Amino acid sequence: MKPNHHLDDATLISYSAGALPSALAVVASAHLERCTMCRDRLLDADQIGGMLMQQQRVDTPSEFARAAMLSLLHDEPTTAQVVLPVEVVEPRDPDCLPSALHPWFGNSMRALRWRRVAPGVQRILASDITGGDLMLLRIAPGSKLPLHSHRGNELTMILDGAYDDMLGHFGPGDVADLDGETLHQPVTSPGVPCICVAATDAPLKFSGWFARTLQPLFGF
Amino acid sequence: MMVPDQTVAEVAPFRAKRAVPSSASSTVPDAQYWSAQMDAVSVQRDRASFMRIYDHFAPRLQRYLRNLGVPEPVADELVQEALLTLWRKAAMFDPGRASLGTWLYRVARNLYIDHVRKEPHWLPIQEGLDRLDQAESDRRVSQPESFFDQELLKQAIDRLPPVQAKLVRMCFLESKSHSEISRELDMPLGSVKSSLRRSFAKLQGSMRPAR
Repeated sequence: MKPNHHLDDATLISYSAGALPSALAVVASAHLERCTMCRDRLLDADQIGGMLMQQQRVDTPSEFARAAMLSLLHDEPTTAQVVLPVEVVEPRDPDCLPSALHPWFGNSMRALRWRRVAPGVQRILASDITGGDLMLLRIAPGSKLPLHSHRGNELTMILDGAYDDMLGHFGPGDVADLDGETLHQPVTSPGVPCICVAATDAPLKFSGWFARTLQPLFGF
Repeated sequence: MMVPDQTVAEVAPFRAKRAVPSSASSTVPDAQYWSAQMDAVSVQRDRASFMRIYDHFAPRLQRYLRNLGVPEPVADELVQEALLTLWRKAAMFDPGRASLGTWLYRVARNLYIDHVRKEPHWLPIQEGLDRLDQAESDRRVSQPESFFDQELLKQAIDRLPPVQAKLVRMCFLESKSHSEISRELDMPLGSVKSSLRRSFAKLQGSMRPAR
Protein backbone atom coordinates (compact mmCIF):
# COMPACT_ATOMS: atom_id res chain seq x y z
CA MET A 1 0.00 0.00 0.00
CA LYS A 2 1.44 3.34 -1.01
CA PRO A 3 1.39 6.21 1.49
CA ASN A 4 -0.74 9.25 0.62
CA HIS A 5 0.81 11.79 2.99
CA HIS A 6 4.50 12.48 2.61
CA LEU A 7 7.49 14.27 4.06
CA ASP A 8 7.60 18.02 3.55
CA ASP A 9 10.22 19.26 1.04
CA ALA A 10 11.90 21.30 3.78
CA THR A 11 12.13 18.16 5.95
CA LEU A 12 13.64 16.13 3.09
CA ILE A 13 16.27 18.78 2.40
CA SER A 14 17.28 18.76 6.07
CA TYR A 15 17.37 14.97 6.11
CA SER A 16 19.68 14.96 3.10
CA ALA A 17 21.89 17.60 4.72
CA GLY A 18 22.13 15.60 7.95
CA ALA A 19 20.50 18.60 9.62
CA LEU A 20 17.27 17.07 10.90
CA PRO A 21 17.16 16.69 14.73
CA SER A 22 17.72 12.98 15.34
CA ALA A 23 14.26 12.15 16.74
CA LEU A 24 12.66 13.59 13.59
CA ALA A 25 15.23 11.76 11.43
CA VAL A 26 14.14 8.42 12.94
CA VAL A 27 10.52 8.98 11.88
CA ALA A 28 11.61 10.30 8.46
CA SER A 29 13.73 7.14 7.97
CA ALA A 30 10.78 4.94 8.92
CA HIS A 31 8.64 6.62 6.27
CA LEU A 32 11.42 6.51 3.64
CA GLU A 33 11.64 2.74 4.15
CA ARG A 34 8.06 2.43 3.03
CA CYS A 35 7.83 5.19 0.43
CA THR A 36 9.56 4.96 -2.97
CA MET A 37 8.30 8.40 -3.93
CA CYS A 38 9.98 10.09 -0.96
CA ARG A 39 13.18 8.13 -1.63
CA ASP A 40 13.17 9.52 -5.18
CA ARG A 41 12.65 13.05 -3.84
CA LEU A 42 15.44 12.46 -1.32
CA LEU A 43 17.70 11.59 -4.23
CA ASP A 44 16.87 14.97 -5.79
CA ALA A 45 17.88 16.64 -2.53
CA ASP A 46 21.09 14.60 -2.47
CA GLN A 47 21.84 15.71 -6.05
CA ILE A 48 21.57 19.32 -4.86
CA GLY A 49 23.91 18.58 -1.94
CA GLY A 50 26.33 16.83 -4.28
CA MET A 51 26.34 19.79 -6.64
CA LEU A 52 26.86 22.33 -3.83
CA MET A 53 29.75 20.21 -2.55
CA GLN A 54 31.30 20.23 -6.03
CA GLN A 55 30.78 23.94 -6.61
CA GLN A 56 33.08 24.91 -3.74
CA ARG A 57 36.34 26.58 -4.73
CA VAL A 58 39.33 24.43 -3.79
CA ASP A 59 43.02 23.96 -4.45
CA THR A 60 44.48 20.88 -6.12
CA PRO A 61 45.57 18.20 -3.67
CA SER A 62 49.18 18.21 -2.50
CA GLU A 63 51.64 15.57 -3.73
CA PHE A 64 51.89 14.46 -0.11
CA ALA A 65 48.13 13.82 0.10
CA ARG A 66 48.11 12.03 -3.27
CA ALA A 67 51.01 9.81 -2.19
CA ALA A 68 49.20 8.97 1.06
CA MET A 69 46.07 7.99 -0.86
CA LEU A 70 48.03 5.82 -3.30
CA SER A 71 49.81 4.03 -0.49
CA LEU A 72 46.45 3.24 1.12
CA LEU A 73 45.29 1.88 -2.22
CA HIS A 74 48.44 -0.22 -2.42
CA ASP A 75 47.36 -2.06 0.75
CA GLU A 76 43.96 -2.90 -0.69
CA PRO A 77 43.32 -6.35 -2.14
CA THR A 78 43.86 -6.25 -5.91
CA THR A 79 40.71 -8.07 -6.88
CA ALA A 80 37.47 -6.20 -6.78
CA GLN A 81 35.41 -6.88 -3.73
CA VAL A 82 32.69 -9.39 -4.35
CA VAL A 83 29.43 -7.51 -4.38
CA LEU A 84 26.81 -9.43 -2.50
CA PRO A 85 23.51 -9.91 -4.23
CA VAL A 86 20.77 -7.60 -3.07
CA GLU A 87 18.80 -9.13 -0.26
CA VAL A 88 15.37 -10.12 -1.31
CA VAL A 89 12.93 -7.72 0.25
CA GLU A 90 10.66 -9.89 2.33
CA PRO A 91 6.94 -9.43 2.05
CA ARG A 92 6.20 -7.21 4.98
CA ASP A 93 5.30 -8.89 8.23
CA PRO A 94 2.51 -6.73 9.68
CA ASP A 95 3.93 -7.27 13.17
CA CYS A 96 7.36 -5.95 12.22
CA LEU A 97 8.11 -2.30 12.99
CA PRO A 98 10.08 -0.28 10.40
CA SER A 99 13.78 -1.06 10.94
CA ALA A 100 14.59 2.58 11.76
CA LEU A 101 12.56 2.06 14.95
CA HIS A 102 14.24 -1.19 16.06
CA PRO A 103 17.04 0.47 18.06
CA TRP A 104 14.46 2.37 20.08
CA PHE A 105 11.45 0.07 20.39
CA GLY A 106 12.52 -3.42 19.26
CA ASN A 107 11.07 -5.00 16.14
CA SER A 108 7.75 -6.50 17.16
CA MET A 109 4.55 -4.52 17.45
CA ARG A 110 2.96 -7.29 19.57
CA ALA A 111 5.88 -7.31 22.03
CA LEU A 112 5.59 -3.60 22.85
CA ARG A 113 5.02 -2.83 26.52
CA TRP A 114 2.57 0.04 26.60
CA ARG A 115 2.01 2.38 29.51
CA ARG A 116 -1.37 3.93 29.97
CA VAL A 117 -1.14 7.72 30.29
CA ALA A 118 -4.79 8.68 29.92
CA PRO A 119 -8.11 6.91 29.23
CA GLY A 120 -7.76 5.31 25.80
CA VAL A 121 -4.19 6.51 25.35
CA GLN A 122 -1.00 4.48 25.82
CA ARG A 123 2.53 5.52 25.18
CA ILE A 124 6.16 4.34 25.08
CA LEU A 125 8.90 6.96 25.30
CA ALA A 126 12.24 6.27 23.65
CA SER A 127 14.99 6.71 26.19
CA ASP A 128 18.45 8.10 25.54
CA ILE A 129 17.58 9.89 22.34
CA THR A 130 19.24 13.26 21.97
CA GLY A 131 17.86 15.94 19.68
CA GLY A 132 14.16 15.87 20.50
CA ASP A 133 11.58 13.41 21.84
CA LEU A 134 10.54 10.15 20.23
CA MET A 135 7.50 8.12 21.30
CA LEU A 136 5.03 5.48 20.25
CA LEU A 137 1.36 6.22 20.85
CA ARG A 138 -1.59 3.87 20.88
CA ILE A 139 -4.94 5.60 20.81
CA ALA A 140 -8.22 3.74 21.18
CA PRO A 141 -10.43 3.50 18.08
CA GLY A 142 -13.01 6.23 17.65
CA SER A 143 -11.28 8.74 19.97
CA LYS A 144 -11.48 12.43 19.34
CA LEU A 145 -8.42 14.39 20.43
CA PRO A 146 -8.85 18.03 21.49
CA LEU A 147 -8.15 20.76 18.94
CA HIS A 148 -4.51 21.69 19.24
CA SER A 149 -1.56 23.23 17.46
CA HIS A 150 2.10 22.34 17.73
CA ARG A 151 5.12 24.04 19.13
CA GLY A 152 8.22 23.59 16.97
CA ASN A 153 8.31 20.76 14.46
CA GLU A 154 6.55 17.48 14.79
CA LEU A 155 6.61 14.40 12.60
CA THR A 156 4.14 11.54 13.09
CA MET A 157 3.90 8.31 11.13
CA ILE A 158 0.96 5.92 11.31
CA LEU A 159 1.98 2.31 11.88
CA ASP A 160 -1.44 0.74 12.30
CA GLY A 161 -5.03 1.93 12.35
CA ALA A 162 -5.89 5.40 11.09
CA TYR A 163 -7.11 8.85 11.95
CA ASP A 164 -8.79 11.75 10.18
CA ASP A 165 -8.33 15.46 10.58
CA MET A 166 -8.82 18.51 8.36
CA LEU A 167 -5.63 17.56 6.47
CA GLY A 168 -7.19 14.28 5.41
CA HIS A 169 -7.20 10.58 6.19
CA PHE A 170 -3.97 9.18 7.64
CA GLY A 171 -3.40 5.44 7.36
CA PRO A 172 -0.40 3.10 7.76
CA GLY A 173 2.77 4.57 6.22
CA ASP A 174 1.39 8.12 6.07
CA VAL A 175 3.27 10.93 7.79
CA ALA A 176 1.91 14.16 9.22
CA ASP A 177 4.72 16.69 8.90
CA LEU A 178 3.50 19.60 11.00
CA ASP A 179 4.85 22.84 12.36
CA GLY A 180 3.54 25.41 14.81
CA GLU A 181 1.14 26.89 12.32
CA THR A 182 -1.11 23.85 11.96
CA LEU A 183 -4.19 23.57 14.13
CA HIS A 184 -5.83 20.16 14.01
CA GLN A 185 -8.12 17.73 15.76
CA PRO A 186 -7.44 14.09 14.90
CA VAL A 187 -10.24 11.54 15.25
CA THR A 188 -9.10 7.91 15.23
CA SER A 189 -10.94 5.51 12.97
CA PRO A 190 -13.24 2.84 14.40
CA GLY A 191 -12.05 -0.79 14.55
CA VAL A 192 -8.43 -1.04 15.60
CA PRO A 193 -6.36 1.30 17.79
CA CYS A 194 -4.31 3.90 15.99
CA ILE A 195 -0.62 3.20 16.58
CA CYS A 196 1.83 5.86 15.53
CA VAL A 197 5.39 6.99 16.10
CA ALA A 198 5.80 10.68 16.85
CA ALA A 199 8.88 12.86 17.12
CA THR A 200 9.28 16.45 18.14
CA ASP A 201 12.34 18.66 18.15
CA ALA A 202 11.25 20.37 21.34
CA PRO A 203 14.15 19.89 23.74
CA LEU A 204 12.22 19.16 26.96
CA LYS A 205 10.39 16.00 27.94
CA PHE A 206 6.64 16.42 28.24
CA SER A 207 6.68 19.58 26.20
CA GLY A 208 5.28 17.93 23.07
CA TRP A 209 1.75 18.40 21.82
CA PHE A 210 0.69 15.19 23.45
CA ALA A 211 1.24 16.34 27.02
CA ARG A 212 -0.07 19.84 26.33
CA THR A 213 -3.11 18.43 24.63
CA LEU A 214 -4.07 16.06 27.36
CA GLN A 215 -2.92 18.14 30.29
CA PRO A 216 -6.10 20.20 30.64
CA LEU A 217 -8.28 17.14 30.12
CA PHE A 218 -6.61 14.53 32.19
CA GLY A 219 -4.48 16.64 34.46
CA PHE A 220 -1.09 14.95 34.04
CA MET B 1 54.95 5.24 -4.00
CA MET B 2 53.17 4.57 -7.26
CA VAL B 3 53.15 6.99 -10.12
CA PRO B 4 49.68 7.17 -11.67
CA ASP B 5 49.67 5.59 -15.09
CA GLN B 6 47.87 7.91 -17.48
CA THR B 7 47.44 5.31 -20.22
CA VAL B 8 45.43 2.66 -18.43
CA ALA B 9 42.16 4.53 -18.22
CA GLU B 10 41.57 4.50 -21.97
CA VAL B 11 41.24 0.70 -22.02
CA ALA B 12 37.46 0.49 -22.01
CA PRO B 13 36.94 1.00 -25.75
CA PHE B 14 33.18 1.32 -26.04
CA ARG B 15 33.11 3.79 -23.19
CA ALA B 16 35.89 5.86 -24.71
CA LYS B 17 33.53 8.20 -26.53
CA ARG B 18 31.65 8.97 -23.36
CA ALA B 19 34.90 9.82 -21.57
CA VAL B 20 35.13 13.07 -23.51
CA PRO B 21 33.20 15.78 -21.68
CA SER B 22 30.22 16.49 -23.93
CA SER B 23 30.23 20.21 -23.35
CA ALA B 24 33.58 21.54 -24.55
CA SER B 25 33.13 24.93 -22.91
CA SER B 26 32.60 23.42 -19.47
CA THR B 27 35.67 23.17 -17.24
CA VAL B 28 33.94 20.70 -14.91
CA PRO B 29 33.76 17.20 -16.35
CA ASP B 30 30.22 15.92 -16.71
CA ALA B 31 28.40 12.89 -15.39
CA GLN B 32 29.30 10.71 -18.39
CA TYR B 33 32.97 11.45 -17.90
CA TRP B 34 32.87 10.38 -14.24
CA SER B 35 30.77 7.36 -15.10
CA ALA B 36 33.50 6.22 -17.53
CA GLN B 37 36.18 6.74 -14.87
CA MET B 38 34.13 4.71 -12.41
CA ASP B 39 33.74 1.97 -14.98
CA ALA B 40 37.53 1.78 -15.36
CA VAL B 41 37.91 1.68 -11.58
CA SER B 42 35.39 -1.10 -11.06
CA VAL B 43 36.21 -3.27 -14.08
CA GLN B 44 39.96 -2.72 -14.61
CA ARG B 45 40.79 -1.59 -11.05
CA ASP B 46 42.47 1.32 -12.79
CA ARG B 47 44.45 3.56 -10.45
CA ALA B 48 44.88 6.39 -12.94
CA SER B 49 41.11 6.78 -13.27
CA PHE B 50 40.83 6.54 -9.51
CA MET B 51 43.35 9.36 -9.07
CA ARG B 52 41.44 11.53 -11.57
CA ILE B 53 38.40 11.10 -9.33
CA TYR B 54 40.56 11.76 -6.28
CA ASP B 55 42.11 14.94 -7.68
CA HIS B 56 38.70 16.44 -8.40
CA PHE B 57 36.67 15.25 -5.44
CA ALA B 58 39.07 14.87 -2.50
CA PRO B 59 39.67 18.62 -1.98
CA ARG B 60 35.93 19.31 -2.35
CA LEU B 61 34.97 16.65 0.17
CA GLN B 62 37.65 18.00 2.47
CA ARG B 63 36.23 21.51 2.20
CA TYR B 64 32.72 20.18 2.77
CA LEU B 65 33.75 18.39 5.99
CA ARG B 66 35.80 21.37 7.22
CA ASN B 67 32.73 23.59 6.70
CA LEU B 68 30.75 21.23 8.91
CA GLY B 69 33.26 21.98 11.66
CA VAL B 70 35.27 18.76 11.36
CA PRO B 71 38.88 19.30 12.55
CA GLU B 72 41.43 19.10 9.74
CA PRO B 73 43.14 15.79 10.64
CA VAL B 74 39.74 14.08 11.05
CA ALA B 75 38.49 15.59 7.78
CA ASP B 76 41.60 14.28 5.98
CA GLU B 77 40.98 10.81 7.37
CA LEU B 78 37.31 10.83 6.40
CA VAL B 79 38.17 11.94 2.86
CA GLN B 80 40.56 9.00 2.52
CA GLU B 81 37.89 6.73 3.99
CA ALA B 82 35.32 8.04 1.49
CA LEU B 83 37.65 7.46 -1.46
CA LEU B 84 38.59 3.98 -0.20
CA THR B 85 34.86 3.23 -0.02
CA LEU B 86 34.65 4.31 -3.66
CA TRP B 87 37.54 1.98 -4.57
CA ARG B 88 35.94 -0.95 -2.76
CA LYS B 89 32.36 -0.40 -3.81
CA ALA B 90 32.89 1.00 -7.31
CA ALA B 91 30.82 -1.81 -8.80
CA MET B 92 27.80 -0.66 -6.82
CA PHE B 93 27.84 2.80 -8.37
CA ASP B 94 24.84 3.19 -10.67
CA PRO B 95 25.36 6.17 -13.01
CA GLY B 96 21.75 5.98 -14.17
CA ARG B 97 20.58 6.78 -10.66
CA ALA B 98 22.89 9.43 -9.21
CA SER B 99 25.91 11.44 -10.28
CA LEU B 100 29.29 10.54 -8.82
CA GLY B 101 29.31 13.84 -6.93
CA THR B 102 26.01 12.87 -5.31
CA TRP B 103 27.26 9.40 -4.47
CA LEU B 104 30.38 10.79 -2.79
CA TYR B 105 28.35 13.48 -1.03
CA ARG B 106 26.22 10.73 0.53
CA VAL B 107 29.27 8.69 1.53
CA ALA B 108 30.96 11.72 3.16
CA ARG B 109 27.77 12.84 4.91
CA ASN B 110 27.20 9.34 6.29
CA LEU B 111 30.81 9.13 7.54
CA TYR B 112 30.36 12.53 9.18
CA ILE B 113 27.15 11.55 10.97
CA ASP B 114 28.66 8.22 12.04
CA HIS B 115 32.21 9.27 13.03
CA VAL B 116 31.83 12.88 14.10
CA ARG B 117 28.26 13.18 15.36
CA LYS B 118 28.46 9.60 16.64
CA GLU B 119 24.95 8.51 15.76
CA PRO B 120 25.36 4.73 15.60
CA HIS B 121 22.00 4.02 13.95
CA TRP B 122 22.36 6.30 10.93
CA LEU B 123 24.71 4.16 8.85
CA PRO B 124 22.77 0.87 9.01
CA ILE B 125 19.56 2.73 8.18
CA GLN B 126 21.15 4.38 5.14
CA GLU B 127 22.54 1.03 3.98
CA GLY B 128 19.05 -0.41 4.30
CA LEU B 129 17.57 2.42 2.22
CA ASP B 130 20.33 1.88 -0.40
CA ARG B 131 19.40 -1.79 -0.65
CA LEU B 132 15.74 -0.89 -1.13
CA ASP B 133 16.73 1.58 -3.89
CA GLN B 134 18.90 -1.04 -5.55
CA ALA B 135 16.10 -3.60 -5.48
CA GLU B 136 13.79 -0.94 -6.89
CA SER B 137 16.09 0.08 -9.75
CA ASP B 138 16.68 -3.60 -10.60
CA ARG B 139 12.94 -3.88 -11.09
CA ARG B 140 12.79 -0.81 -13.30
CA VAL B 141 14.10 -0.87 -16.86
CA SER B 142 17.66 0.41 -16.92
CA GLN B 143 17.78 3.92 -18.33
CA PRO B 144 21.32 4.96 -19.27
CA GLU B 145 19.92 8.12 -20.82
CA SER B 146 18.54 9.23 -17.49
CA PHE B 147 21.64 11.36 -16.88
CA PHE B 148 20.26 14.77 -16.16
CA ASP B 149 22.21 17.78 -17.23
CA GLN B 150 24.34 18.76 -14.25
CA GLU B 151 24.91 22.10 -15.93
CA LEU B 152 21.19 22.95 -15.66
CA LEU B 153 21.21 22.24 -11.93
CA LYS B 154 24.33 24.36 -11.50
CA GLN B 155 22.68 27.25 -13.35
CA ALA B 156 19.51 26.89 -11.31
CA ILE B 157 21.57 27.10 -8.09
CA ASP B 158 23.30 30.23 -9.39
CA ARG B 159 19.93 31.78 -10.24
CA LEU B 160 18.43 31.37 -6.75
CA PRO B 161 17.56 34.69 -5.11
CA PRO B 162 20.19 35.64 -2.47
CA VAL B 163 18.12 34.70 0.59
CA GLN B 164 17.11 31.31 -0.81
CA ALA B 165 20.71 30.63 -1.87
CA LYS B 166 21.90 31.47 1.63
CA LEU B 167 19.34 29.18 3.32
CA VAL B 168 20.10 26.30 0.97
CA ARG B 169 23.83 26.64 1.67
CA MET B 170 23.32 26.92 5.45
CA CYS B 171 21.28 23.75 5.30
CA PHE B 172 23.46 21.60 3.01
CA LEU B 173 26.93 22.99 3.63
CA GLU B 174 26.68 23.86 7.32
CA SER B 175 24.14 21.17 8.27
CA LYS B 176 22.03 23.65 10.24
CA SER B 177 18.51 22.70 11.32
CA HIS B 178 15.51 24.89 10.46
CA SER B 179 15.41 26.19 14.04
CA GLU B 180 19.12 27.05 14.01
CA ILE B 181 18.74 28.93 10.72
CA SER B 182 15.67 30.70 12.08
CA ARG B 183 17.55 31.84 15.20
CA GLU B 184 20.72 32.81 13.37
CA LEU B 185 19.01 34.91 10.72
CA ASP B 186 16.25 36.13 13.03
CA MET B 187 13.71 34.83 10.53
CA PRO B 188 10.40 33.13 11.48
CA LEU B 189 10.59 29.32 11.33
CA GLY B 190 7.70 29.24 8.84
CA SER B 191 9.57 31.57 6.47
CA VAL B 192 12.71 29.44 6.66
CA LYS B 193 10.69 26.39 5.67
CA SER B 194 8.70 28.04 2.89
CA SER B 195 11.86 29.56 1.46
CA LEU B 196 13.56 26.15 1.44
CA ARG B 197 10.48 24.63 -0.20
CA ARG B 198 10.53 27.23 -2.97
CA SER B 199 14.24 26.68 -3.58
CA PHE B 200 13.75 22.93 -3.72
CA ALA B 201 10.92 23.24 -6.23
CA LYS B 202 13.07 25.40 -8.52
CA LEU B 203 16.12 23.16 -8.32
CA GLN B 204 14.05 20.02 -8.74
CA GLY B 205 12.47 21.58 -11.82
CA SER B 206 15.91 21.99 -13.36
CA MET B 207 16.63 18.29 -12.89
CA ARG B 208 13.29 16.94 -14.00
CA PRO B 209 11.81 19.32 -16.54
CA ALA B 210 9.26 16.67 -17.54
CA ARG B 211 7.53 16.72 -14.14
